[in-house]
Amino acid sequence: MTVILVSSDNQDFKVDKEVAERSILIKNMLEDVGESDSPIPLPNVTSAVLTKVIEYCEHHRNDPVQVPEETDDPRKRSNDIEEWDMKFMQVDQEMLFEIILAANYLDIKPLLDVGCKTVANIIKGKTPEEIRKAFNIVNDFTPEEEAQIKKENEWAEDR
Amino acid sequence: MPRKKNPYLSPQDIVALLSPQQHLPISPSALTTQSPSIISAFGNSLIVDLILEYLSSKDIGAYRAVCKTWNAVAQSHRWRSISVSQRLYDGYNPHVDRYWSLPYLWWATLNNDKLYNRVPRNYFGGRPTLKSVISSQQKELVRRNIFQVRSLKIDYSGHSLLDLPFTNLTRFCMDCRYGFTKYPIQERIVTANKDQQFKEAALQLIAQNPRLQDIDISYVENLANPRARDPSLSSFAISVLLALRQPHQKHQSSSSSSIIVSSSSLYSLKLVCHGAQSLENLCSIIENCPPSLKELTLQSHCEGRLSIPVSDPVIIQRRLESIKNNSNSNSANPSTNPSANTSASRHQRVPSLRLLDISWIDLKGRNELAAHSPGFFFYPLLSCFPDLQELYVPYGITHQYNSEGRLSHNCTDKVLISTLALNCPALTTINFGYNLIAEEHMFRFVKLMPEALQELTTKIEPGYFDRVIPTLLRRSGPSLQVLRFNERHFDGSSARSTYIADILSACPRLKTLVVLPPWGCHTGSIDTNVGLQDLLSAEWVCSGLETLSICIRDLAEYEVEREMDKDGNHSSPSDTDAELALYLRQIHNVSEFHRRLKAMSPSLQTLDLTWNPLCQDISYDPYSHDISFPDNLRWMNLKWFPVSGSVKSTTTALEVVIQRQLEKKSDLSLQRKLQDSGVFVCEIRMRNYGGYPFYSSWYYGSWEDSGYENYFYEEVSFDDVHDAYKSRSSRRIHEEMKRKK
Repeated sequence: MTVILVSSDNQDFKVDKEVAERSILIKNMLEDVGESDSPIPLPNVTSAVLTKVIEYCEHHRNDPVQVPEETDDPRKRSNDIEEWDMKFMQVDQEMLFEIILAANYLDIKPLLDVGCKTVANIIKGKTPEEIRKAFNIVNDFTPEEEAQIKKENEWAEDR
Repeated sequence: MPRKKNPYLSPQDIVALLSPQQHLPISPSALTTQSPSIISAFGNSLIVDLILEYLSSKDIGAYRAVCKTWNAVAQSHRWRSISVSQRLYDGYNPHVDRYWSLPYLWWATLNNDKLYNRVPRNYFGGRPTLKSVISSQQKELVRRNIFQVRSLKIDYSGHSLLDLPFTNLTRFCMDCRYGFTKYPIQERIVTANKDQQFKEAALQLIAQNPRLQDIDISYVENLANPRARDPSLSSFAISVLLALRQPHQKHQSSSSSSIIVSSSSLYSLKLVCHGAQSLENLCSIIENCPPSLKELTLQSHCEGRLSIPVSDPVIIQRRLESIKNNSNSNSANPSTNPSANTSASRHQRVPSLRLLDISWIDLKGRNELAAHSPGFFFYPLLSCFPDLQELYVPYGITHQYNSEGRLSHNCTDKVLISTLALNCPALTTINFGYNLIAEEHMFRFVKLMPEALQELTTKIEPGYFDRVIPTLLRRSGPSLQVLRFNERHFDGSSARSTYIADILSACPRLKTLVVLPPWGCHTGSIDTNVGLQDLLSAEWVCSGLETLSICIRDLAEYEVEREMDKDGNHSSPSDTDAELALYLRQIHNVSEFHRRLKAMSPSLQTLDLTWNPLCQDISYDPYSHDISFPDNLRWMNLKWFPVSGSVKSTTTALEVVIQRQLEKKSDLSLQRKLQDSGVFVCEIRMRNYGGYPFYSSWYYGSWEDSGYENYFYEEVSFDDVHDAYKSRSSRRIHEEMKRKK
């Protein structure tokens, strides 16, 4: 069975139901509506982003639904991204954040996690100035505010 | 607090999603405007929370300092972790004595695998004091945010925080060794009483934090008399383990017959003890570990030589057996326990550890383990943990003290390897530490282990190159993530080796590569056999490399004939031409190496290269090279001299070579350079003072509106090379701003 997803720029995407249901938003929607051929509009996702998201869902269509394992190392690590996912995330920054926003909107937790890990890896080990440069952000602190934060950060440990 | 943005849709979102140009990579012209999707992602507290979960508190600090919005959104993460220490141990492994520093400790896992950090810095620095560094105001702030605190790391200077009612901690680190081994016992800064108070406060804290996952405590077992071993004193380690059960037991008298079920969710326990531990004590610790525990590190050491009171082998053997039975019954039937045992602790399920590190327990034979053959304690212990993935092999397993108290190789590495292959089928990470395994047995190890290795730390000797390393790379190459080698029995006469290049080209997942050369690298003579040319000869595949710490012997070698052809210069080869050819190849190799490091390793976080002095102090022409060339050199820890600065005059042909290069650019001069930039930083130099390096940054500049005769210089010193660079770049920015005004 297939469903039709419509991107914000009115492109139709024909996807297996199983693939589309990786998105909890779509899954719930399908459950609410029941059997229906009507296309599902996704006004927040452009076709370019939706293509990427569907690519991810296709690849992970057989993954088990995430269960938090208690025996796992409780410390969160961002360096355990799967190889395929790593390659998948090698996109320009615009796209990376659009994927994150889309994953958030469509409620695809594993994709959101991978995206956030990728961003965390970009931020890791950088100085504030380097982070600003990496994401093109303007420093709007006054020197006093900056000094204050620096002081507060003295207690932050090296880990 | 700013209003939280709608996590699903914001006006920026819509703009972002409707914009037709959004998928183009950011073009230089667009750099001034920020992309809407980035704004909305970083404004979404749901997404930011997720990102921050993966960041260390230091990174969160940097995150908050980026801009106002980011600071506001990350506000709730501010108190996630608190760390108070006198930073006496900066740059070192705090759990390792300076006393026993370098030669013994190369294998100890350091914070960041930097070779340089192994050299004591600030050795003559401050003496630990008990002065609290926490003001009452700060304490009040912590108290108010106490529910957000998840990680607490303190030493004795932060002891005043211990009485706060923390309840949400998942991680607790405490160092109460008072810089102990650095100072003689008489000069210790706390009384035994005070120490006891700290310990009790810590126990209380552990008891009231049932969500603790990580405990890391360094302590002195018996401060009143660290050398004494009083069996009547119960060990602090046991107290910690009992405190972990506290939440569940509060209103219940602990009778020895009731089954104690620990509610602890402890994952990792690390206890570093200054003082002797007996094997019996070790057994008790393992028996009392909560079943949730996966990682256990027990280290103990003490100064001076102890007479070793040997435990009764029969008792130890019986206890080990019961531990083993308990661990076996874990999988079979947890409810059946050997009925013969009466001690309460026997009712506890033995955890199925994935990491075991008792590597220090027998340091220098001052503890019992070294007095016995490993077959007596260590091997039976290994068989208790069939799920073990990570193992630190204790010091001296392959060595033994003979009757005269001298260390000798006891040829047990054969047994060790067989035991590992038999008892540790899941092993993927191993640290052989101080032990040097004979080539034939290491070969058996890399061949026999059922799982492909992910991490390997070991001493290596030249004999390893024939079979061990090729087999290791063939079998485990695709899975290896961490390699730490210490070269032994290498000297300048050994053949050049390309094994580092082989590793770089065979391990696509490699994250850490540390190769410590034979001892003596810090004194200047490097006996490693790795040249830069060797490294460049192979294609590197390790694109995820995070740490690279190696020593390099030379940048290029003389290759007279080949170079002549390349130059097309067939005039009679002279020394100068050969020098020039070498020089050019050096420049080429260094640039290529830099390019490779940058291109192949986008994730590189720690770069720690040690160069043979011959690679250093080469003059270069600042005008014929890329402006960033000197920066690149410094990034790679190479120190070369710009020719127009204070050139170290060399009487070799090199001077001629440099002169030739200079002639091409004769119109440029120091004067012009000074007029252009006002001030420029000539050099960051490492100086040696009494064997301890410090760094000095030299600023050259001209007085305003005056000629270059009036140039000045100043020198600023730093303990840390990073500080020197930081200061240099801020100075540069400062000067540029001044000039613009």
